[in-house]
Amino acid sequence: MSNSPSSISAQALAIHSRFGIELAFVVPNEDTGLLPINSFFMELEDLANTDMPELLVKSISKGREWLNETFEGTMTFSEKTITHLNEWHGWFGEALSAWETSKNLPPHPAGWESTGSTPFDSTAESPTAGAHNEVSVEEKAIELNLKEDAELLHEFHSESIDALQSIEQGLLVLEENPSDSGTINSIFRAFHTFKGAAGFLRLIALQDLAHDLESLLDAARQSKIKITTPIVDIILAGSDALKKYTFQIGLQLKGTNAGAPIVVPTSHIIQRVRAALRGDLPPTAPPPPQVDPAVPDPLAEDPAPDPTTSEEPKPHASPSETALKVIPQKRGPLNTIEVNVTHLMPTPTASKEQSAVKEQSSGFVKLDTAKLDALIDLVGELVIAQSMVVQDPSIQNLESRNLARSLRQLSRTTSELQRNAMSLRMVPVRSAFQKMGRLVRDISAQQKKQVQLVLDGEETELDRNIVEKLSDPLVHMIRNAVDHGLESPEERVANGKSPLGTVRLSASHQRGGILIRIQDDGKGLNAKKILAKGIERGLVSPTAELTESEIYNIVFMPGFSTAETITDLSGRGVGMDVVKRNIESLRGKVEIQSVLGKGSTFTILLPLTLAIIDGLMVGIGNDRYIIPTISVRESFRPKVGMVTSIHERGAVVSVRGRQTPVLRLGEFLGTEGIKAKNYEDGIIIVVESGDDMRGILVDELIGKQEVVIKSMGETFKDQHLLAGAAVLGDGSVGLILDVDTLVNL
Amino acid sequence: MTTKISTDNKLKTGRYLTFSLGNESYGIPVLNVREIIRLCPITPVPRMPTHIKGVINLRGTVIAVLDLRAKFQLALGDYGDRACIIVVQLNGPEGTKTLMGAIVDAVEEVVQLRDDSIEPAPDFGGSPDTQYIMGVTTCTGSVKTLLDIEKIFLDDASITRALPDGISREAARLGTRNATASNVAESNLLATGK
Repeated sequence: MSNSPSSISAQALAIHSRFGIELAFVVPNEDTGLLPINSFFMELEDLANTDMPELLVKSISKGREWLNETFEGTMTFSEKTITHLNEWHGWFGEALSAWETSKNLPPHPAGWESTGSTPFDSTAESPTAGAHNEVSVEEKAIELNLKEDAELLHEFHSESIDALQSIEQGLLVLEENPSDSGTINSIFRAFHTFKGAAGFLRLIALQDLAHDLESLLDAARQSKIKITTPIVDIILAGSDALKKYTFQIGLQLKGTNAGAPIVVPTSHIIQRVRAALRGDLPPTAPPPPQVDPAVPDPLAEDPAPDPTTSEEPKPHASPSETALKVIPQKRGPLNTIEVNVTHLMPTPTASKEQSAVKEQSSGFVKLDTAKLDALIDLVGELVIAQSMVVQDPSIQNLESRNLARSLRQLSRTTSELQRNAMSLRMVPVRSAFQKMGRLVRDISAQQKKQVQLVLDGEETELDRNIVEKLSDPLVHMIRNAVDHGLESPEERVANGKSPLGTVRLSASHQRGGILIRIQDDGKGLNAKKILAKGIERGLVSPTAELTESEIYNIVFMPGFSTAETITDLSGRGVGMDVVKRNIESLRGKVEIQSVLGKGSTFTILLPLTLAIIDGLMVGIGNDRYIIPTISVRESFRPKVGMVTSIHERGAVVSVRGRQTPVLRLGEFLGTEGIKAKNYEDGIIIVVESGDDMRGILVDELIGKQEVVIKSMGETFKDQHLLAGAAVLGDGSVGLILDVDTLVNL
Repeated sequence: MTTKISTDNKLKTGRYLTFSLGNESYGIPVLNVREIIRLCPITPVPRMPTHIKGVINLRGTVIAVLDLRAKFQLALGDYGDRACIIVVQLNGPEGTKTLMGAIVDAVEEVVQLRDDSIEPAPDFGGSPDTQYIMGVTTCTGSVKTLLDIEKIFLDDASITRALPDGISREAARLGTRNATASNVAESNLLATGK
């Protein structure tokens, strides 16, 4: 925590300005911007934990209070909240600049103090706040939306088990060594992450409790309170309550009592936490309130989990996962990957005790991705070493049947090992896609539109890093598609369309990359309006002659999206520059196709970076190149007369009735020792990119091979001829041609 | 410990790896050297400057290999038995690390040099170009040229594009690339006349 005030205020200012942009889009009775604003407050809360003037901290708590009201209420912004937030935004900006210049902070605007109507009193929000009134906290029930959120809940469940376990361990350390600030911080962060995740799933009761516990640890962090055994007891009780919730969520996910509200008494804990924050800790813990008999309480009252007392509803459901599978981890600061090890666990025994323990284990191991990468590279080396051994002349001269069998066995095992290792990094794009279902549901309900989201190619596997980074741009684009792309049901019917709008989200391997398409059947982009807006904003010169696609690309320009665009129906510019930047940071590109009145398609083409591709190995002279099989349409040995020259400069070959230009690859690349001087001596490989095709003349086809794409590094960043490199079986490097470039020469 | 050489004070006490190119002797800071490997088959990358020899597989990582003789416009020739590849690690902006290889004729030794034993690069009045030279030193009986390894490699590692003037340079490079690509394509097609 060596942040200087100036860096904190600079960070806060940055959040403040992004906040302002998001705030501009907030509309009464809609939830646009709710999640971003929530995350801004979370960021600010993180900053507030550093070293911020109390008045600022308080104002952040205040904002959080309004936001919590919204979360607990209609989930949409009320007029009052918007006024408050705008007022807050103005004040906060002033206060920040005052702080930066070491002036006195302006006082809070009037009316801020009187809004504390949530059960969440400011006492809890800010440990230093003066209000000390005891609030009676109702026991809140949580209800799970198993259908919509199953995937997220699963993830939440397994993450929570880990988080709570590490919290518990941390607390035990803390009891021994109360001043261990590292441990306090890590417990604090664990609660914070938990709170965020619970908030995202709208598990309000969990979020509230985690929040209170977080405040307590925060106070400890700032040495406002001392960690004593009673404090540790309270936190343990709190984490036990969270554990009970998690356990119930786990049960429901397995189908027990699905859909039933979950109540775990937490009010006594919350009260104790608040008492502790005020410094008047009761000498003994109050008697725990009676437990709702309807809810099985697996952990009883004892803070130490005692599985034998649990009412075991069912033996552990047999794991359905058989393959080693990786799911991406979305939240949490660690760069880790989770590996499902369910199938590695022994089958559940009948013993109640053991199965109760199993209920709590998540079947995932968290791994540092660096370790995983190292493993993958080493396996690659192993495969190469293996093939070197097998192909060694002295071994090949040994005529031993036994040895041959053993070598075959070795080859099989190593290639199996390699396949497994490769698959560790690849995750289906499903998790990123399924989150969109929720988004579409929320936006369409809020805008009273009828929208169906069609997902396609969810099983397409992508490098997990890409899947993770894809989420944000997808949210933006899907939101735009529903928000601005699709018309209201009435308008659709008037235009002769079905009232039900469709947004199609698909993923596929194509064009030597991964193609993600967001397609809507809405009204399409209005090129004229976009151009007018672009000129008005000074993004394009009024005299410029632009093609349609150039006009569409204006929406990606920074500065195109402004507050007015969302009232303007043509506007699709909400954060599209950010979308483009995000995708470009993955070295991908975005394209727009649109037909006015029919709909728009946003196409994201992502590079292969670590994807495995099927490659066609071709030879030219002494060199070998790999062409991604996916872009290859066909290949043939041309007969005399099949290739026609045009103007003596170009050559075309007829491919299924289409005259296709032919490129002599060897000459184009400047390869030495080209064998195919005439077309008839070589092989023409027809490749395609989008709708365009080109024949490529090579000397020979060497074979088909699955290769792992490796980045060629900074040196070759500017060339577009090669899509990457691959380590071949003999340990040498093969170059992968970029078909797009070859086709669009 | 940082491997970054500060730009204002290039001449630094420290350990240097010396190697030979032809009859000349050069040195680079040991801190940048990751490892030294035997000369192995290098996959040539088409349409690259001659001093970019190609790429190799360094235990699963593909790295670019430079030919230092070509880079300094020395006489080219076959590599001898003692030729090897020095793998250097370069620290780019934002903590990115790039590995690159350089082919040298032979690795000599590691020497400890002090600030006062290093003289600034002599001025030849234009040729040869001294922009890659950090200084010269005399040790173990011969004069060794100390190279500014980061400058040599960053030139090719295109990390320099993060600098302010990078954008225009990239644009210029892109422009020329497209032009040459289409020219070559055309001339190739020309050559195909049958």
